[in-house]
Amino acid sequence: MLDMKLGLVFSTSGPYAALGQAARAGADLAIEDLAREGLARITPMHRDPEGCPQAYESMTAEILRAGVTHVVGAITSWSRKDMIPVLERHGGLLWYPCPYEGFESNDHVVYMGAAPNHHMIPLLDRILRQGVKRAYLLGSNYVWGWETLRLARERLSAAGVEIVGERFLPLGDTDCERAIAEIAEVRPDIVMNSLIGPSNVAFSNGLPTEARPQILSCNQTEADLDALGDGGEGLISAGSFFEALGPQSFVERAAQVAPNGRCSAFLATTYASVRLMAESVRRAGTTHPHAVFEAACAAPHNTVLGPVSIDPVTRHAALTPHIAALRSGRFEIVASAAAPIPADPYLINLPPVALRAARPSDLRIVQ
Amino acid sequence: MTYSFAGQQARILHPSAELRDRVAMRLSSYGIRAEGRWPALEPEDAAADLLVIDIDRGEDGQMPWPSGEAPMPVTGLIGSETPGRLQWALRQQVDAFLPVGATANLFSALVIASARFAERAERRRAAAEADRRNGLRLEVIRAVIAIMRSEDIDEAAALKRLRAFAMVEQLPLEDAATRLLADLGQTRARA
Repeated sequence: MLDMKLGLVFSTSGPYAALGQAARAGADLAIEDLAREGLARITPMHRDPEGCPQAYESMTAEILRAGVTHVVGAITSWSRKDMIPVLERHGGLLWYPCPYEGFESNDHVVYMGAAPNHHMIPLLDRILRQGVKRAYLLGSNYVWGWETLRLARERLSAAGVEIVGERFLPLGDTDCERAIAEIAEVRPDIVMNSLIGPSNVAFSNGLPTEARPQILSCNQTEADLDALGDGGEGLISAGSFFEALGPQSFVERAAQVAPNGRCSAFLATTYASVRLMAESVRRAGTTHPHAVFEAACAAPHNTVLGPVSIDPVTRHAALTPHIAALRSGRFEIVASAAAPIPADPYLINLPPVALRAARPSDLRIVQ
Repeated sequence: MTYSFAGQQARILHPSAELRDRVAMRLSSYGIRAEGRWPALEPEDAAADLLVIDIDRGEDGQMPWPSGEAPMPVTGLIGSETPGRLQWALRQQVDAFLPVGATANLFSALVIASARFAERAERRRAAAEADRRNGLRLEVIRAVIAIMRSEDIDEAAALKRLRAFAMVEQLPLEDAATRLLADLGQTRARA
């Protein structure tokens, strides 16, 4: 039986602890299942950076210096970007199990979470078909908020949707009064909400439930749903996994180990990542990151997310995009792609517009 | 703006086949079709949209254009930081550079290189236009004299008339002068 150590770097405390706890529960469940099935004995090295960016760097270094080469972890892009230089120096491989904003493809990362063409693009395409006229953009003030809302602004504007407001809140800020007042004043059809953590909770609970615009998110999962209470009712979220997709037996077992009793994309993707990593180490016959990555790309994997293949060039997982509506605390699937879609982290497959003005400015604007 | 290089062609001028392959694979993830070259580019490579070159071992004469006149954005991969090599890179008018070990961030370098190249091209265009107009100063003098004669006015009034004509025709003063002289010539011919 495969015997290896695995670094697990998740903030199970701090401002986005709910997401870290869900991911850690997924990792623990995968480790337990792999042992029970006689496939792998994985000794985890747990580290909790408590949401502090600098701690990700030092804790990852500590794990890699101990001779461990594989790490599953990071929640925010900020933490991932802090881990990358350490991974590069020590030759480690990070299995990143979270949705993110794209525009990255590092040789020391396997991107297991949804890319923009798995979340924001299908979500925007869907609402554009519904004849939206006025949009308000709201996000946390860091790269996830900036980039998801930039993309939303670009595509919505190009489709003739008026952007009636845009606001960024500092990470962790719970003062949403101005945003809520602006939304009441400008009355948008939709609010694209890229807030995370306490800001998201404050906004969802603070926004009056009457005459609400449609709230849309690419980061709302079951992991931090409890805090929203009734404030999340009707929210539309896009992602690569929701509880309703099953498999039912997995969702039930996950619910038993998740601190909030829910199975989320963070939990399921981390579970799939640990299993996929272990399977690839077994196939490669070594923990050497390069060989393991090659083995991971060699064939598709059956996972709790459905069939997943890893693209050797982009280093991203092909995933099936889903869109779900939140009703009485449960996400109901309202749309799903027919099959897994290769990640397009640099959005090279979007139809370009207003391009090739002159040879010198050959940068393309794609909308 | 979402920067996209999808569908573009790149050339990679680098002695290491392994690195050429690695960079080509990276470029393919941005939707760019790339071909590696060494020891020199081919004449038709001038039509490529992007160029990635090795600064460590690059030499004048490897590219089918005069030094520093690449017709596309150039990104330099840098290993040695010796002043001689850096001077060579500057002479090539490298638009952006990247440490050779940091090709994971090649996308950023391409975006910056393309923007810098566009600025450089705009500066070249503006300088060429200024040169062209400077070459037409005599036409301005001739046009002013022609107006003075035909309208029997002084040179200040004639210049004012010429400026008004340029404004109406939405032409630079020099081009308006050339047009006016041609028109006068035609008028005389018809008379």
